[in-house]
Amino acid sequence: MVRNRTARYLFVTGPETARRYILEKSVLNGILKRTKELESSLESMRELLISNAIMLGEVPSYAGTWQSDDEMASVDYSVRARFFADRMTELGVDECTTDPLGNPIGIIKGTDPTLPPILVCAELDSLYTPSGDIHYALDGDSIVGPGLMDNALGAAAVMALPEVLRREGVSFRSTVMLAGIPNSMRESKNLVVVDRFLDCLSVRPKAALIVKGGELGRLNYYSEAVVRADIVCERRPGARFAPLNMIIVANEIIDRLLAIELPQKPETTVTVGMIRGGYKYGAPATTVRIGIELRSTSNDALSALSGRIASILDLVRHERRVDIEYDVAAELGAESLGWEHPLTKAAVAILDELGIELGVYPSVSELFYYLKRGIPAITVGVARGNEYHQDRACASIRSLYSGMAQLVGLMLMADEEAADA
Amino acid sequence: MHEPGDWLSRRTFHHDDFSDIAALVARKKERGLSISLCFPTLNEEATIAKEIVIIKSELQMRYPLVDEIVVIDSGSTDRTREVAAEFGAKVYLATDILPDIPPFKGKGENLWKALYVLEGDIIVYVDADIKNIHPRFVYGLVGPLLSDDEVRFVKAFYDRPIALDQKTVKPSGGGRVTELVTRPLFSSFYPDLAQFIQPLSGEYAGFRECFDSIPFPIGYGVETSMLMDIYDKYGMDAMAQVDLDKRVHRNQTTVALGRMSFGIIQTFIAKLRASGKASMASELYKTMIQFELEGGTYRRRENRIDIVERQPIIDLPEYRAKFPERADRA
Repeated sequence: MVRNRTARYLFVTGPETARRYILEKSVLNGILKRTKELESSLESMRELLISNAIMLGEVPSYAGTWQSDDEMASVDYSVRARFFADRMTELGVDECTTDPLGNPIGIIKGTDPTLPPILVCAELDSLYTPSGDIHYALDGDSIVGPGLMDNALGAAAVMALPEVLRREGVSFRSTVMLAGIPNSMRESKNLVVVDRFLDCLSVRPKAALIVKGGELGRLNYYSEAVVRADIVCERRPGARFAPLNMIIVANEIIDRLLAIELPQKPETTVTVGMIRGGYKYGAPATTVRIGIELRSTSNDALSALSGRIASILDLVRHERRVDIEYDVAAELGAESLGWEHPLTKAAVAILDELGIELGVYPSVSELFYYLKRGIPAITVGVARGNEYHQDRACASIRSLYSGMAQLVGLMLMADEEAADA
Repeated sequence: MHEPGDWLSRRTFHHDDFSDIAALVARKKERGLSISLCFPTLNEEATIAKEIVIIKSELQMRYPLVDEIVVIDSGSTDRTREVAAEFGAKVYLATDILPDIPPFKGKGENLWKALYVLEGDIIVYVDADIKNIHPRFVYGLVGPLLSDDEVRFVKAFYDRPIALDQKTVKPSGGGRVTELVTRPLFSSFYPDLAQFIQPLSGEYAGFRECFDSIPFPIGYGVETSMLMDIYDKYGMDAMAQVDLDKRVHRNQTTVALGRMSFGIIQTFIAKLRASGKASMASELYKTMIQFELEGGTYRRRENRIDIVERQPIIDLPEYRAKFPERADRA
C-alpha cells in the first residue's frame, strides 16, 4: 500500500501561515520517522514491558489500603497505586507524588518550565478481577491474565515510560505528568475519582493522553452522552393489589423500555444489560434490579430519553403499587475534541505510519471529563488483545512495541504543539 | 554450637532485608563475585518464560545482579527448552552435559550436572513451577550470602498456598512431607536442622564450594541430603534461611507425596548409616507399595525407588579441568 502522508495529513489547524505549515510538515515527518524507529528499537525492552505488565497486573486493584506518609491523610490508597508510584520512582521519574486523592503522579521535568505540561494517564483498576490470587502467564507472543487489557496493561505502559524515554534518549520541552488513577469507580458514581483528579490539577495540561490496554488502533476523540442506571423494583410492604413478584414488574418495565421509539439521528439507544433478582426457585422475587445504559450522540436527545424513562417508571410505580428507584451510576455528556484538532490528526498520522488500522468510535468513559474542561484529550490503546474481561485476557507482546511507540510519538507531537502554542 | 533459638534469630531473614538491589550489586562487585541462576525443568512451558523474563528484566537488565540464567532440562516433552531459549536463557538438556557419564533421571541429577555448566561463584537454584515468580526469589536468597561473609548457604521458606484450581487458593497446607517426615527425622537425629522452616523448599543458594564438595542423590532426597552434608561440613552458622513470603505452585497428590517421602526416608537412612549414626541389620527394601481403589477393588502399585547418589562433582576430572581454581583449593 502506498501512503501519501504529507498529502493526507497536514498538521495544520485553521488559517495558518505558510511558514507554520512548512514547519509543521517537517516536524511531523521527523516525529513520524522517530516513532517508526522506536517501534523497532522497543523490542529490546521486551522484558521490561512484560515485567511491568505482570507485576502490576498481579497486584489486585481492589486490594487493601496503604497508608500515606501523611498520617493525616484519610484517602483510601490502593496497593496497586503504591506499586505504580514506587515503580515509577525506580524507573527514574524526576519526582513522584500523589495528589490529595492519592492518585500517583510521576513527573518528568521538561526543559522549558514555562510550557504547560503533557498529561499521560491510565486507570489503575482492572475491571475484571477474579477471586483469589492473580497470576499472569506468558504464552507464545501473549501475556495472559485477568484484568490485563482493562486496564493493567494500560497502566503498565504508562509506568514503563520513564525507562523507555531514558533508554531511547527522548526528552521534552514540556513537563510530562504520568498519572495512575486508582479506584476510578469508587463510590460507583460517574467516575467521580477522574473528575476530582482533574479538579486537583494546579495547571491545565496542554494535552492529555488516556491510555488503555486495548485495542491498539482505537482513537476516541469524542464522547457520547451516556447514562448508566439501575432500576430497582421492590415490593411495597402492605400495598393492596400489588403484585407479589417483582420479576413480573421488571418484565413490564423492560417491555415498555423496548417500545420507546428512538431517533436514528441523533443516534440514540437503550440497552438492558443486566438483570438480577429473586433468591429461590419457588418464591416470588421481592426485589429486582435492572441495569440499563442509554446512549446518544446528542445531549438533548439523551435528556429527552431520560425524561421518557422517568415517566415510564412513574407510571409503573403508581399503577402497580411498587417501589421503584432510578439510581444513576454514571452520567457522561457528549463532547468532541474535533477531527481537525492537531492531537486527533497526530494520532491518525502516527497510526498510519505504524501501519495500524484506525478505529474511531466514541468514548463512553473518562474522556468526557477532560473535554468538558477544555483539555485536549484522546484515548488510545497500546496492544491487541482478546477476552478482555475473562480469566484468560491476553495481549500480544509484539503489538505492545507499536503501542508504546505510538505513545511516545503522541507525546512528541503534543510537545511540539505545546512549544508552538 | 549455638543454642537453637540463637541460630533461628540470627540466621532467619526476610527478603525485604535485601530489597536494596543496587546495594547487593555493589557488594557483589566489591567481593568480585559472579552469580548463576539455575532453573531445573521438566515440562514447565507454562511458567518458565515468565520466570526468565521477570528475573532478566529486574536482575539483569535493570540491576546486574544475576550474571547468567540457565535452564537444565530433564527431557521435557513440551516446549520448555524452546520457550526458555526464546526468552534468552542458556538451555541445556541434562543428558548433553557430561555425556560420557551414564545418565540418571531426576532433579538431583540436574542440579549436580548444572554445577558443571554454571559459571558463577554463587549458585541459585529456583524451581521452575512457581506461578508468582518475583525478583525477591533471587535477591532474597543471595542477600545473606553477599551481606554476611560467614553465610555460605541459604534456604527459602514461605507461607505456602497451594493453587487448588484456577480460582481457589488455600492459604496454607503445603509442607505435608516436611511436617510428617523430614522434621520428625531431623528432630530425632539432626535437631539443629529441624530449625529450617521448610527444609524441602526447592529454592536455595550457596557458594559453589558448598555444592561441588557434596554428593547429590539424583532423586527426591536431594534437599534433605544437601542440608545434612552442608551442616556436617560447614556447621549451622554457615547456613541461613530467608522468608520469601508466598509461593504458588502446583499441588501434588498424596500418592506422589508418598513416593517423595519414601525417597527421603531411604536417603536419610543411607546417610545415617554412612555417618555411623545408625546401623541396620539388613538392607532396606527399595520398593514403595501403594494401593489404588478401582471398581471396588484395591490394586497394588509398586514403585522401585533406587537411591543413587552422584559423587561430589569436585572429584570428577572433567569438573576439575574446567574449574582448576576449585581443584586447587579442594
